Amino acid sequence: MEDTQIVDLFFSRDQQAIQQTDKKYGRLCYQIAWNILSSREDAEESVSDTYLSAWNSIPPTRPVFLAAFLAKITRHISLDRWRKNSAGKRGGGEAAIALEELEECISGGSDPEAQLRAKELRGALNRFLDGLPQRERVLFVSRYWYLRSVKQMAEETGLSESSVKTQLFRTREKLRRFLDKEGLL
Amino acid sequence: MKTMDLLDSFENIRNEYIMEAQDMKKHYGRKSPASRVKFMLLAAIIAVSLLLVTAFAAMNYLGMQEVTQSTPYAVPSEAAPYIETQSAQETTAEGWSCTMLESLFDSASFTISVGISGGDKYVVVPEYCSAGDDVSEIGLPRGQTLGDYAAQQGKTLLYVGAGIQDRDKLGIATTTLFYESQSDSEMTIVETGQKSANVSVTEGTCSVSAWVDGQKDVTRVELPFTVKEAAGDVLVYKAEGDNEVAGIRTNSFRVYQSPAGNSIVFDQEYAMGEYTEALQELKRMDIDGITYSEGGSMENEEGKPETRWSDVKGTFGDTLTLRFINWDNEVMGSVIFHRQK
Repeated sequence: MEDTQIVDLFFSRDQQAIQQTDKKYGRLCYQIAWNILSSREDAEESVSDTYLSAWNSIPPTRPVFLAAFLAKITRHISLDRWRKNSAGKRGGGEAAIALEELEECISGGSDPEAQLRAKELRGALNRFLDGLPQRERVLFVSRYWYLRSVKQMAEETGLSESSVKTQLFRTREKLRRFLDKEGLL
Repeated sequence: MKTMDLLDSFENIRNEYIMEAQDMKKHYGRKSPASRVKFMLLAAIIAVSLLLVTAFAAMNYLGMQEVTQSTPYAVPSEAAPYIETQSAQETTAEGWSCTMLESLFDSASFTISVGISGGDKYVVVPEYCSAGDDVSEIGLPRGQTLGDYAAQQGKTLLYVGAGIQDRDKLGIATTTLFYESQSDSEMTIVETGQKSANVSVTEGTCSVSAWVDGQKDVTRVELPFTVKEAAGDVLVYKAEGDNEVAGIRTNSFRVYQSPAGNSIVFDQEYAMGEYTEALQELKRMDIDGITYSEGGSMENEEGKPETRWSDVKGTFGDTLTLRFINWDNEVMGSVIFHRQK
């Protein structure tokens, strides 16, 4: 079913909307949740919460990219759940490893000014991604948006794990320099 | 700023970038199972062939054939006569040295190898490692961090990386890196990948970068190397009749024959003028009787899809049928090609 038809089902409050969403994007949402939570039960709950959130958001929202819309909700819900599960300490899953990797891109600290800078970061990240070659961007987004494991990325791309790690390392270095130049560190 | 803020900030990246990364396979190469078997056989042959073992004087560096032998990017034995031994070498003020070892080029691919030695001062580790990583990263038995190991040896960690320069000049499209430790102080880095067939140069440069643990300054050394292409014939095949499958038209393809490995570059275009979801159904393409080790699709500078196969093996007859296979392993469609005289 086309995305526009699924969105129409949401607008007409037809529960088929959830079934069709699950049929078309259930696997995508589950993979994102699994990457972050590494728990079948938690991942399934996150996907269910995603559908509920979509049900409550559409209408009034009419997403242009339904896949990205759902994926964003899943990622947000799953990261929240991961934070609660970890309760301040580092939990398992790719989120914990990704956090460690990203530490080298920032200066640390959490003063109010830094909180403000975090908001500016959203725009800066898009500018940073705009400037990356497509393949490098795909690799970076796969790791830090989809939170895919290095092993999984190596299998999907045909690159060696060391090559994936190297490319991610170089992109993180670019990000660190970019954030420094933008005054966001 | 906290790292969690940074991770959260990714949530709001452009939708296009989220969609783009949904399917990594669309942007990177895939390996055919058949060719994996071939590579395993080839690796076994290489392992028992003493003729292929390359020793580099003074150091114990491995060559590109040894480093890649158990990988999908293995340098074939037929390529051995075309591997150019290099000589550029430099010792830095910090006390580590690097040596350009080998280069292998043909019209559509390249492989280079470079050796880095930390002498008796440094434990040499890949640039993506950190002191807290396990020593298995450099081939030692698990159970100790790199930092602890270096301290125990009375050495310092030296993070190293290497990469070919002037990628545009060489027409380099994709690269893959391998790091192989020969000891805790010696490492060979191999970079391999695909290049444009339309570029022909006689020399290149490899940049080696390294920094000592705890120091911010990165030392870079540029090592020149010669490029001598192991050139062969180019076969051109053109499509007959309807050539649109999975939202793309495949107009022709070229087979670049080389002792370093044959490769195929397909000339394609989007049927609708731009990428459509129909292409997501495509898992792979194949031609009867032909195997390849790496297939990849990417958009070229003109915004057209371009598929490349490397290490292509098989018989190139007058007529070949290209089949398009979906994720259920069903044939979506096929295109017939005739060899041009």
